[in-house]
Amino acid sequence: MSTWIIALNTFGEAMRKKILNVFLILALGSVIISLTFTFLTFRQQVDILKSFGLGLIQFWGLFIAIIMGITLIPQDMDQRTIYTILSKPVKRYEYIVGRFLGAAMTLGVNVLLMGLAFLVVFLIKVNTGDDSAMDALANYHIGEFFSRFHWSAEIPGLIGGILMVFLKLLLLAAVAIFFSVFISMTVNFFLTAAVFIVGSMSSVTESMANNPETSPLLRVIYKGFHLLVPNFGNYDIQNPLIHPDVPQSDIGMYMVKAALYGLAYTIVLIVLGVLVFERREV
Amino acid sequence: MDTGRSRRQGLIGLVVVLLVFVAYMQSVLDPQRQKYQPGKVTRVEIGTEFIAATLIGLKEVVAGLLWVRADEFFHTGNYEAIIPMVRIITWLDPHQLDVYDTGAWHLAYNFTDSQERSDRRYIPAARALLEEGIHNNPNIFDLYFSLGWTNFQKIQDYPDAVKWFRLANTKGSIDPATGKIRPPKAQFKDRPQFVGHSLAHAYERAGDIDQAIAQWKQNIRDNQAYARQYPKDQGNKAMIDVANNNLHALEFEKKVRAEIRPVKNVHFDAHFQRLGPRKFRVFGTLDLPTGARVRVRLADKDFREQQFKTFTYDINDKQTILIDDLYVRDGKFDRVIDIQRDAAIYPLRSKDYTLTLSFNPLSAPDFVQGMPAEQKIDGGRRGEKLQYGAVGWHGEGLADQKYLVVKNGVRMLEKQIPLTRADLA
Repeated sequence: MSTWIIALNTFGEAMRKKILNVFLILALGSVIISLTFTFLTFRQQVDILKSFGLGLIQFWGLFIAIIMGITLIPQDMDQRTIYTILSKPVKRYEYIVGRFLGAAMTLGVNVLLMGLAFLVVFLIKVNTGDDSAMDALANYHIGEFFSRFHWSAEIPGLIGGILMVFLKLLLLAAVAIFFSVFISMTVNFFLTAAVFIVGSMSSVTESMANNPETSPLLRVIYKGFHLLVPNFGNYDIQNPLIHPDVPQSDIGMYMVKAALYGLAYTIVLIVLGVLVFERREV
Repeated sequence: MDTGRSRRQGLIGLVVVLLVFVAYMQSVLDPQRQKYQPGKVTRVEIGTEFIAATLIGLKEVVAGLLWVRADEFFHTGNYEAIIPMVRIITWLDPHQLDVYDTGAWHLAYNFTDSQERSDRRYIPAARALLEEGIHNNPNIFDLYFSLGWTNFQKIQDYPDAVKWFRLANTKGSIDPATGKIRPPKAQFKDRPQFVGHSLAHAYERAGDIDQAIAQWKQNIRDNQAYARQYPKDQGNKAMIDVANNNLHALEFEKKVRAEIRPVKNVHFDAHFQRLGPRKFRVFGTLDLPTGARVRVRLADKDFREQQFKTFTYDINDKQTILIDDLYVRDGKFDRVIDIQRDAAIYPLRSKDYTLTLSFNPLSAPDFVQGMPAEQKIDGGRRGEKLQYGAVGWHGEGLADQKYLVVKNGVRMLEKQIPLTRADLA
């Protein structure tokens, strides 16, 4: 119960934070701006729009996840509100888990809003052109707008892409929250960013581990590194979404596996955070 | 105290178990992940700005915008700048077919010397780029076709052209409106008719006439199926007519060329004359109709074409290879080859060179291979006798006394002239 109350409080606080709202507004604005790529062919415009939209959700989501992740717990310590919280019948693990769940809810709402804006922009784009739904709307022919409007078969895939971005951000927030238990905000910002960069280079670390020219010992080290560093590259599925011709028959199962991976890693980070926090003098 | 310690130990145990699970999941995800991310590319130097773009998930945006920029380079003739961009773009987004296609075309055709001969050292790079594109886009006909066309038209390796056209003829195409692969329909995959037509032409050039005839018959069936599927396409009737005409012409040519016998001594000979530093004349005789062509090839004596496992534009700039086709007029050919301004393309680093002059009947035009004098393919009257001098598809009519050689069942003419650097430089 305490965990849930802390989570709701965290969500409320985060949604009131001006800087996060600014990021959200910037993200929504950027997605809408992507409608202006009219110097490309229509097919290229749609491809760029998909890539730009998913990329922007991730880009602004990164800021939100990192800023929120690194500030939640140190802020409580700086403002000494943590004394008030821990003096109540709240266990330390409930506090950490509650903070994380609050952060997850905040990320979820932000990604949802950005994702909705992106999907609306995408539907506007695919319904644009001569004799299209948007053409009818521009001429105030509401009836024709509805008759001409069509859903794109790519929408489910794009929703999957947005979901994968959310999972990636969730894992990143867990990394930031774990470090925030014992590292200052500034150091944590760079450390989390570094983990994200290294973890995003899945193909590089994997090729290092599998390079036959590398010594066996180094290959073992690289392999261990590749398998144990949080692998954010697992969530990059934009390319097949942008190019529907790329076979994606088993992408659903891949997403499930990636979600399981993220969930397990998130639990590891939260448990480690709890273990460290329980030993910390507050 | 003990409860707290055992709880701690339990949590640590949970972390260890979960980390093992995480490592296992990663090893499960890796093979699949490669399908959703840029393909197998090595030896690539990428700027930090592009790595940054990759990290924040904007790589396809950057790739698209870079391609727009590359197009500007193309229109200003700055071909050198395009190829590195092709490398970066295909790394960022390995599914942009146009980039592979245009990049390979630039490599194979657009790096030319002062007399408009292309730099042949880039051919392996063009081939490797297309092969990489095929590796990354195996279900779409476009790049298979491009590699076939490069072999057919530029390299004139007709068996290889057949190989790639055949593969192209089993693949689908992308619908330009939706970006999706058009599903297989009727008896054929939904791809343009010219793919099957090119395959038939390649069979003919490769000397497999029966297979070429069979392919034209298949093309007629495919074109009719296409017309039923897309009755509004305006080119349907024309494509069916083209396939019909080509089939009838080929069947007729097969019939009349079967009677060709080696009676024609074409008095082939060729000579080299030094005119100055990096300037020489190649001339000779070939008693064939005006319009026949003699291929001239100047290369290092020990020239070996580079083999690239992966695409690179890092060519061997110490090699010299020059290929040109000389026009035969009134039984003679004569060309001054001036490479004074092309030291970068023809470095002449070797001590010894081989100048090869050859005539391959498989590459020759119809009227040289042998066409009835009165034949009109467009439904007109057809004569029964070949004009004098027909050489046939495989050189059946050639009877040269000095330079006739037989390669892979083809009777062709070839003269090799050994040269030294002193002859050329």
